[in-house]
Amino acid sequence: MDQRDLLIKNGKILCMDGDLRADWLLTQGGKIARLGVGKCDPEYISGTVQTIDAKGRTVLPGFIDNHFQVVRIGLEYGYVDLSHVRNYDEIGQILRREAANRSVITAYRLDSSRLEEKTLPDRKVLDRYCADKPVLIFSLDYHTIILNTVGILYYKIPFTLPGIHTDDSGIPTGVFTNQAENRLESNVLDAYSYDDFDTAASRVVDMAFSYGLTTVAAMECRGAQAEQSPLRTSEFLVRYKDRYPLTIELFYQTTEYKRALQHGLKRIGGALYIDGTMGGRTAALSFEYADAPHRKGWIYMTQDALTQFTMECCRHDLQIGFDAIGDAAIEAVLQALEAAADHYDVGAMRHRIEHAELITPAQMQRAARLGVILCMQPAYEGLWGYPGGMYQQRLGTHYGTTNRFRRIIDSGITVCGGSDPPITSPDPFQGIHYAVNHPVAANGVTLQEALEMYTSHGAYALFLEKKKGSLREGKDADIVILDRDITQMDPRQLKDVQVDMTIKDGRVVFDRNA
Amino acid sequence: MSMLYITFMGGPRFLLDGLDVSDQLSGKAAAIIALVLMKETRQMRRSDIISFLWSESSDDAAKYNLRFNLWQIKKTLVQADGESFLLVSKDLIRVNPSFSFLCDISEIEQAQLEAMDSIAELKRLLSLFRGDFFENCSLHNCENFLEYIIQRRYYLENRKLVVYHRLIRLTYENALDDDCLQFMSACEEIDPYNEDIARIRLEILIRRSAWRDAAQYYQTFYSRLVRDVGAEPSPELQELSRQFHLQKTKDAEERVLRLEVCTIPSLPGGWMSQVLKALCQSGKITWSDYLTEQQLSDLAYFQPILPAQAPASVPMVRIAEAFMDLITGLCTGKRACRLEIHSLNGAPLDALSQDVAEVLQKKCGHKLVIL
Repeated sequence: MDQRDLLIKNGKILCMDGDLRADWLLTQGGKIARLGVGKCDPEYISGTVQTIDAKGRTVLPGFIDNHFQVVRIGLEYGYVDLSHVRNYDEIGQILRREAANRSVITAYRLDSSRLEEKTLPDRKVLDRYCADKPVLIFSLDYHTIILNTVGILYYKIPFTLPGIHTDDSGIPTGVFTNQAENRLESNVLDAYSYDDFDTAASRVVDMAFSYGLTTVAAMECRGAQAEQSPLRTSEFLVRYKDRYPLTIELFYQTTEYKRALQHGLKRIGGALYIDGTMGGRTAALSFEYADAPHRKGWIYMTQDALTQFTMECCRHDLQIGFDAIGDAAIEAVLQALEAAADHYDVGAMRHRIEHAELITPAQMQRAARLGVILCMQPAYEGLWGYPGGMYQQRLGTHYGTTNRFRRIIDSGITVCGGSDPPITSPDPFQGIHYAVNHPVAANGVTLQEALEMYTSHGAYALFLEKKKGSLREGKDADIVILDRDITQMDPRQLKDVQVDMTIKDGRVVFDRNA
Repeated sequence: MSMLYITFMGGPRFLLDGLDVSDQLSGKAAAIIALVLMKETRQMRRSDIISFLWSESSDDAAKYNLRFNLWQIKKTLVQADGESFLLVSKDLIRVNPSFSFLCDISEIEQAQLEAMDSIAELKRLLSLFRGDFFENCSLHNCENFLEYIIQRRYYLENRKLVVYHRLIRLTYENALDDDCLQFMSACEEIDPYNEDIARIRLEILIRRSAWRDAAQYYQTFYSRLVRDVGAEPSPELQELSRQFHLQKTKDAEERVLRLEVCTIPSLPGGWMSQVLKALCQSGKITWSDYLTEQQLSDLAYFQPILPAQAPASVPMVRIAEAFMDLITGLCTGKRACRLEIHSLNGAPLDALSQDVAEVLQKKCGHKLVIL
């Protein structure tokens, strides 16, 4: 699009640098050149400058999503969505239609509870509709994969693992769960080429700009892939991330710190799993799950290994992103960091805990002392935080202790925001909405604080605060113009806010009204 | 005498007297051969073959297709004496017993794996698993044969696992540790939760005093089990892990001294001088623990910030010797530490320093790390 310098006038510009506000802003050479209050100086309005009239709408720094996946999400955006089908025939019609345009059909979000048959289809059912091209379907929760016969022949099937469903004759039915599903999912990822990854990443860049995202922290793997095949997508981004106009900060998913060092990366982990999920009751808690007595979840690393890993990373000045949800997992991380703090300036390394949904007040104090950043997903509260929701089912009397943003920020911890797609929408306003409108009101924060999570604090979490996260002279011209003035609206409608225009490095990369 | 080599793993391939004739046979011709070969009697009724490969065709079309493919086989797989690989009668199709051939699947199936004690023979058997059964072979409208392929793949993958297990057991018992580790790595790709394999790997690593590798592997296995299966390793494996954790803790307790230096390849002894400067600036060295007064003075001539009066002139050989005594003392003396010297600019060492560093690395082993 247009590469001229830009003048944005008549804006409600929230600079996200303290209370600093402005009415107009000039970009030059991809940087912010000037900000001003009142009418802008006519000398800046020349033929070489493209003027954008914000018409009183809010202008903000480009948003930063600190827990994102680029390739993976891009691939999924190319999948066939089956979330609305009601029976096998509807699945079949979609498969037949897609078969005309695709050599391999990958579909997702199939929910057995929505199906009239009340059970997921198997290979024979899929063969009825598509017998000549590989079909692969992910269930809604990603715990099950279904393949048609050609699909079984096309993909590398982990026939020796638990989770292969067989019929009475001992032949696989095409339904894969548990460890077999995990491995098969990795094998599916392995079947993609770098060209596929490129297509996927390009797709995501466009989508990110439409939500006003100009920087993302890429956590390129999910669940069990962390061990099996995280490296191809990470390696792809190491090599090619700079070819995309979106700023991509890669967290390499490995405990092999040398690999990160070899690539000259300054950070490691991100989705470095210390525990599991609340949904799967594998997040490590200090108390029993309310809906599964005697279960407290799991810590995936021994304390010894976690501490050793932390020490090694600190020795090499690597920022670590620990993925810890339950308070017991957070405790393990804090203990490792406290051990490292005896030898290294851990605060300067800005280590992060991703999610940290159940951090306790005492742990907040310790995290603040260690300079730990929490990368949190406020939109989780929209999914699971309401009374009767998953959080309450799992936590019982501990309900209300998830994502306590108010208390965390008051403890002096820097909190940045992320969407963790596809679990929640990459739209930052979904997160901002639930940070402000937390289902447990005492845990909510102000709009300014919620915006900081996706701008200035987001930049700080990635060591980018000198270039990004706020609108000041000399910083990158990463800017969004919203569809309204958000300081004058009912905060309960925040999730309806849309981005009208996204500017990246001084170039308009998304214009809703174009 | 003619010889035919048939492989189905990784896709059908036919080598007749060294000549690849695969292109002369259709996928369905290969399928006929596979079906007949896999039968214990090595013969099959025409109607059974049709039910596998042309079940959806009309009777006439199916018979015609079968005849055509049999003709293709007869024409292609023929010995110099005119004998054909398949013998065809009105009802039956069977393998010609006088035709010399080898087939990967037959070998895999016939091997008495549990009784095999020859590592070489097992390795050879393993080499036959070159890919999946009928891989990349496109066959249309033969649902039953596709079912058959899936069934065979399921069976063969589990057969491969038995070969791996056997090889791991035998190489371990014969102390062929490198081979054993290699087989275990490959085996874990298809059998990642096997505690026996994890235990063998840990025992080998312990035997090699590779404490760090053992700890790292145990962590990987632990995470895998806890995350994917929801179970911790058995008490026996946990007990085994304590052995190397104790040893690793001892190792970890060693002091680490990390120095960062710039290297200038064109400056003779420049790297050594930089190391001395970094040591001095670290404030962690009591020079008299490692050097005589004379040696310290000699080094001060080379690096003026050292706390000693430098003489007017010192031969380079004395400087090199004092430097080597110092580093050796630091790494192997009474209060030994692990010395890590990192190059900030990544440039190569000057020639003199390179020679000295090589000697030191031999003397100090893993206690001296030059990066």
